[in-house]
Amino acid sequence: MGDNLINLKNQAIAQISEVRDLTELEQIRINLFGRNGKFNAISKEIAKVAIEEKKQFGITLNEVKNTLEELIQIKKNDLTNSARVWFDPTMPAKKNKLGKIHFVSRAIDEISSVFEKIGFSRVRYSEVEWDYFAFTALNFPVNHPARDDWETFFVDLPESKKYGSMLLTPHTSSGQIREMLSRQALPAGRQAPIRMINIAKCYRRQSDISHVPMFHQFEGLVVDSNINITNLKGTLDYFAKSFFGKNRETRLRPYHFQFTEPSFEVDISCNVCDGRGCKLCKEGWLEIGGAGMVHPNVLRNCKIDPNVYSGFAFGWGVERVAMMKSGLSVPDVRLLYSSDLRVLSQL
Amino acid sequence: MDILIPDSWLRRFLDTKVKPDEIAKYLSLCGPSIERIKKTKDEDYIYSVEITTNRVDCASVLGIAREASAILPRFGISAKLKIKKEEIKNKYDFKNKVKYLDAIVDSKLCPRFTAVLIKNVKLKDSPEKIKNMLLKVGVRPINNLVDVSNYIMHELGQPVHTFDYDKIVGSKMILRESRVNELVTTLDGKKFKLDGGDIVIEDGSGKLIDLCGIMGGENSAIDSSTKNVLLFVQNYNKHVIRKTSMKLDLRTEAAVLFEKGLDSENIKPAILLAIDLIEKLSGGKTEKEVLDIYPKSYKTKMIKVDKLRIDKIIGIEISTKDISKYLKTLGFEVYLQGETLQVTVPSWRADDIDIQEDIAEEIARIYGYHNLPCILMGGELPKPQSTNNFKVELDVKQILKSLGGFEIYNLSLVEKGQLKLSNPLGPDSGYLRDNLKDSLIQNIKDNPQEKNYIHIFEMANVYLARKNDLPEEILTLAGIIKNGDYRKSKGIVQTLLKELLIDYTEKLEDGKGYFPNQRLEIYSDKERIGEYGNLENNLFTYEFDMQKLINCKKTNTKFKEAFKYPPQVEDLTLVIPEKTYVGEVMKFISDFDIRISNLELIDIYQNNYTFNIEYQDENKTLTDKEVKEIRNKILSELKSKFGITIKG
Repeated sequence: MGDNLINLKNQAIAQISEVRDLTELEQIRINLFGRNGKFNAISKEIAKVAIEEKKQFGITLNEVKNTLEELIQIKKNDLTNSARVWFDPTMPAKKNKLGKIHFVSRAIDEISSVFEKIGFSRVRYSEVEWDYFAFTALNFPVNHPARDDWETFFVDLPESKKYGSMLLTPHTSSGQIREMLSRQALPAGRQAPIRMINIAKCYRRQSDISHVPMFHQFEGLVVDSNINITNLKGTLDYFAKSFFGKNRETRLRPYHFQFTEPSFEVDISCNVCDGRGCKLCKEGWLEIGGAGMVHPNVLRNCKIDPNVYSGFAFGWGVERVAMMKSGLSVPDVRLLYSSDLRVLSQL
Repeated sequence: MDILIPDSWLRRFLDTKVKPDEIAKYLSLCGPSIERIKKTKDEDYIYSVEITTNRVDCASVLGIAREASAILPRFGISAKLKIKKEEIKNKYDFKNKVKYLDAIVDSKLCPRFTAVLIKNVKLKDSPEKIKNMLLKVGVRPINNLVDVSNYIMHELGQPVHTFDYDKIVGSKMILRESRVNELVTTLDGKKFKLDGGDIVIEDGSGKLIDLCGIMGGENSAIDSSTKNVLLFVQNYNKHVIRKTSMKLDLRTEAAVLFEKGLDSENIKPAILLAIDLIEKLSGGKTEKEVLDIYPKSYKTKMIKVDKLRIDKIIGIEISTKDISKYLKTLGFEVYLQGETLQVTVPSWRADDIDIQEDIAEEIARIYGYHNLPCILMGGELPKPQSTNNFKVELDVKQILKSLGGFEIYNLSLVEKGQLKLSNPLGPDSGYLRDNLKDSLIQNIKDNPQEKNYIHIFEMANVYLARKNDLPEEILTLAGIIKNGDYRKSKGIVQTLLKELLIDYTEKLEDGKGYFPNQRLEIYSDKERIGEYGNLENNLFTYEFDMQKLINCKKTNTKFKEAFKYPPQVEDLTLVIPEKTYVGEVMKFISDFDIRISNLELIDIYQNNYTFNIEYQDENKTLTDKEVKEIRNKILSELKSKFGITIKG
C-alpha cells in the first residue's frame, strides 16, 4: 500500500517538473486531488489497511499530499512569472491638458457661496458710475477730504446735471445705493428685507507693489427692521469662520466712513501665530476691511425710512481675503493680474 | 493721517501706571488705532497712531491722553487726565482791538484770530528736552521760536505761527481772499502765483506776508536779527485751506490739521501756552493785551438721545447710568430726562457729532465692541433673486478649463476705446476697452516662452459709449488659441455650446482682423450671439456676448428613447471638388433622409473625404437593400448638386 503511495509520489513529481503551461499543470492537479483523483481513490482504500499500519499510512498519505501541493504551487508561480509581460509602472504620466480658472474667479465663487447660505443674494452693478452713486448719496459732502481715500478715475465726458461727473467706481458701495433705489417703487414697508452681496470690479488711481488700479470688492448690505451691531458681528464672524476656518476670531475697531455710523475696521486673528503676535500681523490681528451701520442719511437718500429700518454694510477686497486665506504670498500684488502663463498656472 | 506720540510726552497729560503695549492694545480696540510701538534709545516708546479724518481732535498728545483717560478705566486700569493748569493761567486781557496791530479780518475765512506782540526775544537753540521731544515726533529743531510753534502743534493739535513784528509794514494786517495772479513767496523760498480765493494776509505795504494756514511768507519770517515777534494763533475755513493746499501741493502739517476743521476753543489755551514757553525760552516780554477777533463764539451743541434708540442700534441694553458714565469720561455732559438724554457735545467734537448714531458710536466703542455678542439676524428672508447668470458664467469657465483654457484677468484700461479717462495713470491705460480680443492678443505676445499651444480666455465687460448716459457694459467672453488645429479649436466652441444646451446655426461673414472667408458668426433664435475664426495673425479666436449666450441656453433637453434596432454603419470616401464647403455637404447629407442617424468626417486626404455614416430606423433593422437605396439616392443628389463622386 505504502509502495503505491511512493510510486504515485515519484510519478507525480516527474510529471510536475515536465509541465510547460498552466493548463497542463491544472490537469495534473485535478488528476491528483480532484474528486475522482488518485488521492481520493487511495484514501478510500484505507479501510483495507491493517489496523496496526493505519496510522503510518495516514501520516505518509498527508506528507505526500502536502509535498505535491507545494510543488504544484511552486511550479505555478514559476509558470506565471515567466508568462508575465514586462511592464514599467514608473513611466512618467502623460499630462492632461487642463486649463485653469483664475484665482479671483475662484475666490468670488467661494465668497458668494458662503453668503448665499445665510440668505444673501449676489448682484452686480455697473463699474462706470455717476459721482452721485459713488459718493454723494453715500453721504460724502462735495470736496470732503474723505473722498481722497478713494483715489478715483474720472471719465472725460460732460457732467450730468443730476448726478455729477462720470467715474470708475472706486468701491462696491455704490451698489448699496443702486440696490436700495431699485426697491423705490415698492410700497413703503416692503423695501426690506435686503441681504445683498455685490461683487464687482473697482478702480483706484494707484499702482505699486501692494495696489492695483483694478481690483475686486465684495459688498454686503443688510437692511431690515431691528438690524444692529451684534448682527454685523454675527455675519462677519460667520463669514470668517466659514471662509478662513472655524478657529478664527474677528474683532471690530472704531473707524470712520462717511456712509456708516458707527463705522468699524474689521480684524481677523492671525493664523500664523494663532493670535500671539508675529511679523505678519499687528499684535495677533490682521486687518480685513471696513464695515459699519448704514448711515441714516444714506437710507434717506435711498428713500428708506431710518426710523423704521436700519442696516449694516461692509466692503472688502476679494484679492486681499483670498490671498490671506490661501497663504499665497506674491511679492507684488500686480502679479495676480499678470498674463504670464508661468505665473498664472501657479495661482 | 498717521501721527507719532512719545509715551513720555503722553504721560505728562495722563496719570497711569499701565505699560505702553497695553495702552496700544486698549486704545486700538476702543479708540484711535495704534499701528506700531517703537522703543527709543532713551527707554521711551513712540506710538504710531492712525487718525481718521473725523477725529482731528485726537491728532495731538492731549487728544490721545483724553481718549486714553476714557478708555483705560473700562479695562480696570486707573488713568486720569492731567491738565497743567499752572501753565495756562491767564494774566492777559483778550480784546478785539489792540494798539500794536491793526487787523482787518474776514471772519468767514478765519472764525477766530488771535495775536500778541512779544518784545525783545533772543533767538537761540531750544533746550535739549524740547529738541529731543521734537525729534521723536519727526520734527527738526530750528530755533526756540520755531520749536515752540511745533511743540504746541504736537501737544495741543493747534498750529501756531510767529512773524517778525518789525517786518509787518505799518503794523497792519488785512486777512482776505487772494486775487487772481497775486504772488506770494513762502518761507521755504518757493514762489507761488495764486489762482484767487486762497486765504492770505497783506501788510501796510500791500504785499502778501502769509499764505494762511499753510505756510508763512518769506518777507515776514523770523531771522537771526529778529527782536520782536508777533505770536499768531488762528482757526481757518477748512474747505479753503484744503483747496489751496491741494492745488499748490503744499501738504504742511498745519494744512493737514486745518483742513480737517479745528476747535476754535482750543486757541486760547494754545496762545497762553505759547506765550509762556516763548517767554521762558527767549526771555521776551509779552504785551498785556492779546488780540482776539472771535465774532461768533462757540455755542454748546446739544443732542437729544433716545435711550431705546441707542439700544436698538447697539443690539443690547446699556443702562442710562453706564451711558452717562461713558459719555462723561469723553467730555460730554449728560442730562437725564427719563429715557431721554440731553447730551452736550464738547467743543473739540462739535464737527463730528451731529446725530444719535454718533452718540451710539461713542457709547458702543467705550462699552467695547469686543464685549458685544455675535448674533446672525433672524427675520424674513429676502425674496429669492435669480443668481442663474453667475452660475452659468462659472459653468462656462469650468467647461473652458476642462478644454485646456487658462482664464486671464486683464486691466479694463487700455490704449484705445470709446471712453476716455480724464486722469489716466499713463497713455497706455487712458481708455476703457471696447473689446477683449486686443488684450488677449497682447497676452499671447507677452508669452513668447510658450512656443507651442496656448489657449487663454477672459470674461469681462466691454464698454460702449452712449449719449448722455453711462456706457453700456457688455459682459463678454473671448478666447484666443495659438498654434491650434482649426478643427480642434472649433471643437472647443462646439463643445462649449453643446454643454450649455444651445441650438445654433453658423453664417460665414467676413470681419475686421480676420482672414477673409475664415470667420463664422453664431446665431441662435435669429440672434447673433458670437463669432469665431482665424485672425490675420494666425490666431484662432472666439467671442460671445454672455447675456445673449445665457438667454438662449436651454434649461433642459427632451428625453429621446434610444433606438431599439441597431444601425447599419459604413465608411464612404467622396471626392469633393475644390472650393466646396464640406459643412454644406454634410448638412445636405444629414438632412437628406431621416434614417441617416449620424454622420462624421473621419479623414481628409487631398480631395478625398472619408465619412462614417450610420443608417438607422426607429421601427426595424434596415436591410442591405434599403441602405443601398438611400446611399444611391444621396450619391446621385451629391453628384448633381455638388459634382461629388464616390471614390473607387
